[in-house]
Amino acid sequence: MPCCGVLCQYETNKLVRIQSVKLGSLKWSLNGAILLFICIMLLWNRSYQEFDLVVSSVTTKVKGVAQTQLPGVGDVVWDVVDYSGPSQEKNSFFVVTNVLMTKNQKQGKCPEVPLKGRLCRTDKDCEKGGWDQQSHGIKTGSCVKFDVLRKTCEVSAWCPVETKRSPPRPALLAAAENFTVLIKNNIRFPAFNYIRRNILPNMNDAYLRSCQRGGDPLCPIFRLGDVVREAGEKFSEMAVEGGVIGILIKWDCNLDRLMQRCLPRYSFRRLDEKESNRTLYPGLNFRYAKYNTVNGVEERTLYKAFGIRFDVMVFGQAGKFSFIVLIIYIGSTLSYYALTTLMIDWLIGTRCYSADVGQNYSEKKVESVQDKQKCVLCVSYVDENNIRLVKRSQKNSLQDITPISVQSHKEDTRHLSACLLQPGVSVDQDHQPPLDHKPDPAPKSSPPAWCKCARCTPSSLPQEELCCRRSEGACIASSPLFQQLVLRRSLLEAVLLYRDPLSAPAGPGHTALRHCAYSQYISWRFGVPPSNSHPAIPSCCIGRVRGEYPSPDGKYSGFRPARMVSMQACANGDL
Amino acid sequence: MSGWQGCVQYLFYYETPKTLVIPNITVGFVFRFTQLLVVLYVLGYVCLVQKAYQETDSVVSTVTTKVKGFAFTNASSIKYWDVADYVIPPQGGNSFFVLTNMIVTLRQTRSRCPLLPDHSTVCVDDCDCIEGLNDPRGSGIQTGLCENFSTTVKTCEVISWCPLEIDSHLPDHALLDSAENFTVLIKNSITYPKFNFYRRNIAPHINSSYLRSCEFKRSSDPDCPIFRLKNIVSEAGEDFQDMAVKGGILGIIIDWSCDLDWWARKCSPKYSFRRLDSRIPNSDVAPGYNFRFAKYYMDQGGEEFRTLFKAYGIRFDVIVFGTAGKFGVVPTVVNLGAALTFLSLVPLVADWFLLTCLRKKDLYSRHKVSYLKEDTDSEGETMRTIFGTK
Repeated sequence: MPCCGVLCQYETNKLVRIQSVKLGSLKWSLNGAILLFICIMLLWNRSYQEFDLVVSSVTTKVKGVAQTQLPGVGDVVWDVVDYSGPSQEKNSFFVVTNVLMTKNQKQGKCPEVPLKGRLCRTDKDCEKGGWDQQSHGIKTGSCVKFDVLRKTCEVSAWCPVETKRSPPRPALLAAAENFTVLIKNNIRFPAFNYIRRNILPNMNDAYLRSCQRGGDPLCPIFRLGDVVREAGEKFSEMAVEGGVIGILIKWDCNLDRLMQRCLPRYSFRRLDEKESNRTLYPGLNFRYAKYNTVNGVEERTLYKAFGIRFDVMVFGQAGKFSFIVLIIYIGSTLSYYALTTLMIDWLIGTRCYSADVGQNYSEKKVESVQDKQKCVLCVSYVDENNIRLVKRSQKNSLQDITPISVQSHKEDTRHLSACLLQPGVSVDQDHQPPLDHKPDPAPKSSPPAWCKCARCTPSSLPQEELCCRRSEGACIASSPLFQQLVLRRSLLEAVLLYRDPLSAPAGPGHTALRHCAYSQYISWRFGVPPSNSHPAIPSCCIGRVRGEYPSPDGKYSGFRPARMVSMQACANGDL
Repeated sequence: MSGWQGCVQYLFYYETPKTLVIPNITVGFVFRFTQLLVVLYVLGYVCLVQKAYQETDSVVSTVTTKVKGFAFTNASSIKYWDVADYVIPPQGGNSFFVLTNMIVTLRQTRSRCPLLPDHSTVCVDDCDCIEGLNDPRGSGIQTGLCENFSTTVKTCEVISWCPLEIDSHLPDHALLDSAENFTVLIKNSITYPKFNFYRRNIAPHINSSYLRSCEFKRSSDPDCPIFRLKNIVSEAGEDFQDMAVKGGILGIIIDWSCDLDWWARKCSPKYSFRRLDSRIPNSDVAPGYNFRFAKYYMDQGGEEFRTLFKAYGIRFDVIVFGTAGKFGVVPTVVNLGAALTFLSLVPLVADWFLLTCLRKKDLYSRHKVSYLKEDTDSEGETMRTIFGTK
């Protein structure tokens, strides 16, 4: 066996098993609750799946034609190229809904637009070369007539400068409400190599021609008016100043074979701030120009285009069963079961559970390795029904130390039956009357302060300063039972013979008898002493025993509970 | 039958491991200290630093930009430049280009003209020119003729937009140098779709009168979304006038990293600026940023002609990024479970320490390990009565 060494050994934990229906069912219900929680989390959040984010591309196609009456131009027909703005951006499309046009601008000098206090009276009001954020050009330094009433500074700029600030109401292209847009969205989940588009395989040409979002939430063709309405806005109002609408396409896919489901969900939201007092330049507009030359002079037509930009945002994820993810999840949740033991152990330790069971349990469960520096003594008083555990001290007498804990007395029934219920031994061979009061040496000198029974002998060692009682009263050593259980020679001899049947009868040294009397006292007064503690015998009883079985040379070893001795010897109360 | 009974009994057992208490300061300290380390790791690193109890989502955003400003230059056919002229493309998306410098070639028509002279194009007579040669780096298809470029030099003739652009003389000082005083308003609206969280970079407490007057300054106005181009460039560590000559790409980076838990609900954008194209000093290989565009016209005769612009300028890319985290049950469960596992490893460390490093390790191992030999059937150890042995 020893050659096997570490390899051939299996080490396992020692268990303490409590046969209790209450605790058993508590354990199982706690375990069940944990399992239930873990399973719910597993299913609810699909923790058994590996997830991948969507990669997508979007193309859009807007259809529709609108006719407007432009001031000074007449009827104008707008088709896709006109109202989509100058260029296409990625994942977004723009529809012009309102426009301010300034025709035939040339580079030159003209009066500035009178904007809040920009009026002037003389040339002195106009600083030459002056320029600021709001102005359209650089001041030439002269003050000219803007219209009949007002004069403004002259600027070098594209002339005539744009005069209108606010967009026309109602919007010129309010009819854009009826335009439709086809959104083609191709997505891919790279981790699963899964490709899909929002035009599903079962959608054919005829379906696309006729479908409407109202009837079918998967229809990829949207009426702009519906989009804006679902975003919670009114198209006719939004068309005036423009804005940004987000078309959110959410792909929440489950790619497991059993419950495969991968459909887009569309939702709409206005993304810009609509309250104009909260923002600067509300809505969405930009300026662009179309250039041409007339007789070699460059001219341009300036457009200030208001419109709605639709940003298509695609997001989502796909989940697919993954063994590794499941293992990781299970592995990290396994440790929760350790909480059950922790919780029940704690519960038993507290007062919530029965105190007796708790005591018993902690004795069975907890084993303490006694180190040399710690030696707990247990003390029993005749006027108290429990046992005190005290720490030894070098200064205070044992009588005065406050206990670290108080435990109930545990009867050692075997002792009782051995000592009391053996009438042959206890009565017949007893020559001394039970109530024989010998004159004691103690009363001669006055007892020390810690002594309550007036029979103790003074001692130089604090750990020997212990009386048999807390309050003043009769000494336990004077009781008939003390005589009968501790001092009676016949009993002690019988006990010694019981231990070692072949031992010689007690010699004149009385040492064996004396020590036997001590252990009799301990068994009587302490029963089974609390584990890891050493019973201390009161001074009065020690005196009485020594008086009965004196040492021939008058030397006693004294009480040495834990001085360089093993736990075993310490527990013996080596006296 | 008995097996079944055993099963039922097993249901109502409660089993707990035996505990060995060792009242030793050193090993107790090692145990508690290791435990403390694990707890510190879990609380400090996993929870506080990594925020592992959170689910995360990345930002989805839209940007609109609006540039304002007016520029004046003498060195061009167009003297006065406003937004419609210098912002390309005009929409104002998340990337806008501000033109700062240019080479203009006026009135190009589709016709024939001699190439610009260099070592491969200079010719003496028609034999030096190959008809139909289309040099990918050249400017047109050669006709095979050798024509006078100037009084002294003859070069091959090409069919192209003529006259050819001479782009060797870039103005040393940017033509639209006043572009540094342009301002741009950036409106950014973001969403974290997983948490259904929407936010704009114009904070709710800001009103339009503040916006009309404010300008972004990191110290005094960190919330103002109006930026002066000069400040953007200088915060990126560049000089606007230097950059304006040959152009460049500048990133306006908006960081929306948010903690959306209710106890830490703070979500505001953080702006930073960086030059994105590599700027190696004195590098001749395609420095800066430029592109060509043309304006097309018809003259009275119906013939098309164009004005070609080689536009140098700064492209501003608004880059929005960020992740938001919010308390999630599953990451919490998983990470707490992992932490518990770590905690349950602590006794192993303490055991190892106990059984190897301490002076009284033999005593401890005697108590900790009890041997069970299979060949001795009886109970290995009888409980010794420890009282009254003398």
